[in-house]
Amino acid sequence: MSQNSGVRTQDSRLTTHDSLLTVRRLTVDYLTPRGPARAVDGISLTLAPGEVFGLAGESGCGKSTAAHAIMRLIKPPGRITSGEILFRGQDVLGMSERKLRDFRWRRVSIVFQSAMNALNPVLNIGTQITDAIRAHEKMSRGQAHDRAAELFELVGLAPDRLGSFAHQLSGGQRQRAVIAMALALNPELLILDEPTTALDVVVQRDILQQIKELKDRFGFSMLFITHDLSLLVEISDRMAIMYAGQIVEQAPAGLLFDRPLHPYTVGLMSSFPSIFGERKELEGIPGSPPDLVAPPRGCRFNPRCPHCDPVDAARYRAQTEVQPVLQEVEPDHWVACHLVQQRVQ
Amino acid sequence: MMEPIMSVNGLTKHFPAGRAGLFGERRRIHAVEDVSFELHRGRILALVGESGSGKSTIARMLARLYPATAGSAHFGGRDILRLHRRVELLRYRSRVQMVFQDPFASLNPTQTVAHHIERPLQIHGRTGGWRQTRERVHELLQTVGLTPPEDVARRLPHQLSGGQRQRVAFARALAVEPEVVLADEPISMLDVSIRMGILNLMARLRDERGLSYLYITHDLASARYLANDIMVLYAGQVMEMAPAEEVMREPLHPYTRLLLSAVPDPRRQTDQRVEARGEIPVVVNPKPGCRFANRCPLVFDTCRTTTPGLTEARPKHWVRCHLFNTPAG
Repeated sequence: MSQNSGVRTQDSRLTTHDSLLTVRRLTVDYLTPRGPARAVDGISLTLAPGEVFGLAGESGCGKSTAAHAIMRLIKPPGRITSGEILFRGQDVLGMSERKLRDFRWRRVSIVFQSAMNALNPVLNIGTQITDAIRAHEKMSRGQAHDRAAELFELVGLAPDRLGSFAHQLSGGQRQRAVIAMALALNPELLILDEPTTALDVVVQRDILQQIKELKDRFGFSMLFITHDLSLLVEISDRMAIMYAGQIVEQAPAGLLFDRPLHPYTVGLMSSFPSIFGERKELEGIPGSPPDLVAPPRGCRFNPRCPHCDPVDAARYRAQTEVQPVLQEVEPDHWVACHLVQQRVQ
Repeated sequence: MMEPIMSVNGLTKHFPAGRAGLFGERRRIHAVEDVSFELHRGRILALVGESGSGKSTIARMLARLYPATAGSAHFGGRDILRLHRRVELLRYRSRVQMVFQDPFASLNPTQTVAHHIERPLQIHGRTGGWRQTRERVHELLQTVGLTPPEDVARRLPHQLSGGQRQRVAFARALAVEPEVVLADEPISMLDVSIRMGILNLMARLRDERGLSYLYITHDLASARYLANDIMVLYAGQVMEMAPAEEVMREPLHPYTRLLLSAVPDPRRQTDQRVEARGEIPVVVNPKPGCRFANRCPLVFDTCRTTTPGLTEARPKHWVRCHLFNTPAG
């Protein structure tokens, strides 16, 4: 997969003309009885045409909310409070409902983790796909059916499965059908939100291979979201790690895996035992992610960070009082951490 | 090797699934078929399999939540599958405890943490005065790394994170000082950063208290990390059983190799393609033959007609595959 090194993610170096998707300082709040919870807190990212961008983080870090925001799918009590989303230079947040209809599915489509459970149980799969195609494209029922059969073959399902109902398919087959639907209108960007998390490992591997082949063939970009770092490193060109609503580290996938710098990323990497290599003791990360209604002051990771220590008084004050910003600490490698930035200077 | 603490022999579970037509033959789903293994003191055996492999059914039979169709499970000199009196079952459950996958569903939302740990103490008659009970609860919370215990004890489940709840589930299981813990996917619903904490807690309890575990998981990497031995299940049958490291380095069964090749791991040297597509079948009234035959890349004629037996292909390394043994029976 190609690496587009001309793309910069931070505002100062942003080049929007050659990017497919540009997100700038996106902020999303959810209203709760205790006050607003800032699920996404000022994230910025860009995707080049044909690129696979991986977004990783634990539950509640805001990765799914970010994806929903890009599709304008945030519903109350959630609200996009600020920021900018540009798709091929078009302002997504300013789109009318009519324009949104065209934007969703035709330009960008999304596959959810639970999508396979969202299929209508009383309609056969073929009807659901042809209805979806015909809602967006002027086509006869017969044409739409042919298109659906073609899509099924693409995702590795026998076209006669179009007559099946959701309960007659396994989880893997349902998720394939959902991917077929998402690709129905040849979108330029496919957002995959934990697409294989609920599946067994062999089925997961098979579906990922299929997605890669489809991507190589049709050239769409992907925003791939998962908590599974190993999987993300394998599939992404570039990736970002989110923690408590913010991007804390971003780099090409190989670089991030070989040389993670943010203590949270380092901790995540040591949270996955391997089936290869040496069997060694792993630590994980102590504590748990913060309450987003009242996140810790300063760096949000500071209560769990092994390097946040009052011994270095000046740095400790920064860590607990000043929010670190994402900085490029080496070419293409962005980190939001006082410690790393201090070390680099 | 010392006497096993639990020895399971020929454990089998068939679920009735109606008839094929009004006068057709009875259909039975063969969920677990002739599974045998031994648990040893201070050791962890991982049961690894995908959904439909029968791994949870095995744990549930051993916890006496499901009756077994056939087989035996000897523990403390008795076949625990044949305990029927309430007192006997109670005594068994004080020695063998179960921890479930979902810490959100396994705790009562209206009761404090302290209540959850006091209950087994009361049920199994381990309470002294209230002061002693309270101390015991605090001690257990401390053991599982929930501090300060006085504070945690007063909380309700919704005030705890998933990892903390799973620690409460372990404290509750440990309250009666069991010898064996049946842990059914105890980390799969937890956030990745806190999973290692739970695995390390389990390892510590094994090392410090000589606790034995049956660790049920779909995750080979965590099985390798935690377990001494690994048993790979497919469609209700044991396909391979060996010391954990040997399963990783020298997997013999084609299914084990498939599983290993499918695990995402950037440390992998080569980008292998998965060659055996598909999912675990539901086995209804099986005919003779290997259950993996129709997905196996190395299948040959015998596989479709004769059920392979489990044989010791190498010392302590058992495999159910015609490539490595002679046909059973």
